[in-house]
Amino acid sequence: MPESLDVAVTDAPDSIAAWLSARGGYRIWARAGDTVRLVTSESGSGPSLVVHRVRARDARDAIDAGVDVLLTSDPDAVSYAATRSDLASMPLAWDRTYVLLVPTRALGETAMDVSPRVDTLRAELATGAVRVEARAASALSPGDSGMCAGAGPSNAGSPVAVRRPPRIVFARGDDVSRAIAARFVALGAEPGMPLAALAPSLAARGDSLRAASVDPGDVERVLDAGQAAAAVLAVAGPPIRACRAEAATAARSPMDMVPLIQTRARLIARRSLTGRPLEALLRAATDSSRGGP
Amino acid sequence: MTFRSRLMIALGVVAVAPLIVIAAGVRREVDRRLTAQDDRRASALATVAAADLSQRSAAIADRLASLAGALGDDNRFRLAVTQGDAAQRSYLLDLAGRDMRLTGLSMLQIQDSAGRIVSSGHFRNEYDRLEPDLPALLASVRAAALVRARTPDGPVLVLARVDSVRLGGRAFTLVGGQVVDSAFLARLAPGGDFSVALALPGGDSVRAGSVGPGAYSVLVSRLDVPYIGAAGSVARRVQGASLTLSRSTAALDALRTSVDTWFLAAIVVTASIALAVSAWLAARVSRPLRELAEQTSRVDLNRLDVDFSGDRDDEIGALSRLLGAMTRRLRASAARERDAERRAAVGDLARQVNHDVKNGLAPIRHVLRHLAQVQRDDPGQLAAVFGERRATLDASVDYLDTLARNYARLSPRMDVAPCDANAVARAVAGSAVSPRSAALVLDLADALPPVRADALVLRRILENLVTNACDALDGRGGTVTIKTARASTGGVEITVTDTGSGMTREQLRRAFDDFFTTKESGTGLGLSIVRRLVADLGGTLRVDTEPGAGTSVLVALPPNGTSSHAPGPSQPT
Repeated sequence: MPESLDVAVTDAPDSIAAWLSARGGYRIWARAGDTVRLVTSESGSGPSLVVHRVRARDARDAIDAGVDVLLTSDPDAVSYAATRSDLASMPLAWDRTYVLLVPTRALGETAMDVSPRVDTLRAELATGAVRVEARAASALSPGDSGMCAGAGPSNAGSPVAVRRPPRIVFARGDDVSRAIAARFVALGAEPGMPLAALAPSLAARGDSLRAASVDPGDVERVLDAGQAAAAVLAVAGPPIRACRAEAATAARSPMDMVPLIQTRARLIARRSLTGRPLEALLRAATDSSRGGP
Repeated sequence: MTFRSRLMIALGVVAVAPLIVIAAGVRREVDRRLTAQDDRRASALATVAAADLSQRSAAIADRLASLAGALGDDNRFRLAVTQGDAAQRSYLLDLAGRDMRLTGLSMLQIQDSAGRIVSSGHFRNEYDRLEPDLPALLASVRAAALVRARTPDGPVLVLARVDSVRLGGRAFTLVGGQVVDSAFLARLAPGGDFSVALALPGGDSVRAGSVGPGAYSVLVSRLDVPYIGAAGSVARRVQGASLTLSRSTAALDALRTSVDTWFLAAIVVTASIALAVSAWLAARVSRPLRELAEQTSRVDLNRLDVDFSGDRDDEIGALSRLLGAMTRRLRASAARERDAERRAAVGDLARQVNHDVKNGLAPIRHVLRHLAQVQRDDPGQLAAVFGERRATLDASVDYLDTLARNYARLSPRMDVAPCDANAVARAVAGSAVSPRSAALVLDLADALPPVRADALVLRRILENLVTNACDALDGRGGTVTIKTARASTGGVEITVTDTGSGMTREQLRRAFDDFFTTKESGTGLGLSIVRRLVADLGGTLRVDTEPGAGTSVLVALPPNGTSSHAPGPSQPT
């Protein structure tokens, strides 16, 4: 019965470590580069998890190399694991919401469409635009657009009034955000498409829209500085939590946040594994009510 | 311009001009040969570039044909596009991207018969976009065309072709190609001397190679390529783009510059040598000319003894001999002139002596004629008449005696002794014949020391000066003053001043020359005699004059027992 598990993740180890610390009774014992060791005891002895990062395209190699557990949303790795009888695949909670941040509409601008076209667009993004397991983000309340209204100062004279570059920015390295931004660019050139219902200011840019990556920590700053027309951002938790997070930062400049899709990862483990580390890991993974990594 | 400068310029031109002609000829020939060589290379390269472009187009067509065949065999693709199998949706969307990477294309989109993009490799999420015109336009071209393709990051230029495949009775088109950027163009024209530029409608361009837009370049080839612009509000159509192959003139320019530099250096060196040689030659030629000019400049009527003799047998020697002959003729002429002047002066003197002697002899002849008449008519009265007329005879004899002594003093022998200058001045004033309108004034100093002089010489000096002063009044009246004074040196200064006409600077310069006079009856000997006599006494002479204001002549005599060592007249003021 192994007291230590080798866990590979295709996300940042720190976020996994924080997640496990909150739900599995683990705490960080040591950190070296992209590898984090988590333990359950004060002395460092006993069950432990060694979490290290692999690239998404290397996830299948990690499986072949005999990693105990793989946490990933890479569809190729999931498909590959499904073909292996020695591996068990378990979906994790819908733990990440991708949102569109656009400057709050100025007075007189067309209001957002609340028609089913927006829901259609969300569903289409989830099934076609991104290559991970995704679903349309649920509406915040029945009958609304699912949009978090911008908080903060008056809309008049807000950044939307400034002529912004026709860029949709996203965090560099975030393939899901990139795919969503690229889809918006493609839709921008299609008159009458749902983008006009979702974000009129983007649809107005038409064929000139571009997708551009920025440093992960600069997405909101670039948008706040008026250097982009919109941003696609990943936030942890369900849409309502994303709205709360947005409300906390909205005081800098008024932004509308539109939840788009939710994604989840999968836990792939060798069926032969047992023991307390795995049990703790599974307990944390199945606790979907408290969000995930 | 000096002879030396002319010589230097001439030699410089003779040496440098042929070099410039040679340089121009060599430069032109090098230019012509290199240009021809570059043209041949450019022509060959243009052919290769066109073939390369055609080959790339064929390669794209081959890859699309392979993909079309593979799609026909792909059941998952068939299920997705013909049956709308949602389970194959993700496979379908990723299909073009995978196939594009497998075939080495940089653009690939699969469209259905309505022009809807069912899978896009270069822009995955472009699916479901309608772009029916692109396959039709590419099919109309029947070859590769440049296409503005969309990507999330912006449009890219692609050399694209089209192919098709039929599945379940439905036609699907494949549009694929390779990105045309500077690297693509650079591969068409490898090497540093050529550049490839792609000029697109609307002014856009893609360029590769070393020849920048501002560099000097020569267009060597142009290839027209069909072009299909970006999808947008304007209807797409096939336009023309130009692929131009240009040759850089940098290498040729560098060679020209190098040739120019070396020839310039050769010209500078040659010109320097020519200047040095010409300077040496000019010095050899001009030095004797300069010496001859210096010799000639020394020649005047008082100095005709310049020696122009030499042993040169060239033109300068001939010129020197001509100048020597000329100075000899001038010497002979000057001698004849002086002899004539001397004879004229002697003639004048002889006429003066003749006149003076006749004047002295006339009373004697008259008395003797009277005595002869008394002896013939009344012999008894002869003694009485002789007694009456004897004084006349004595006066005439004294006059002639004095006259003889005066002329003898033109070459005097002085009887030097202590002399009272005031006494001499009074004697001269007493015997002077001055015009009635003139006033002769004596201003004599008391207790004047004696001077060492011949009293007769001193009287002659003063008589001449007083006579000249009275003549200078010119009958208009005025004052002549004789003034004596003790000099600071212990000697005596005698000044004769008149209020007459004065002298000009030119008259003053010649006043002491022999035979120079401004008077109609003058001999021109008075002041020259004065100058010699003062010098004989060891004194000095000073003249102050101003035209219209008068003249003052100061004679400074040394004290008794000494003599001055600075005889002769001083400069006038």
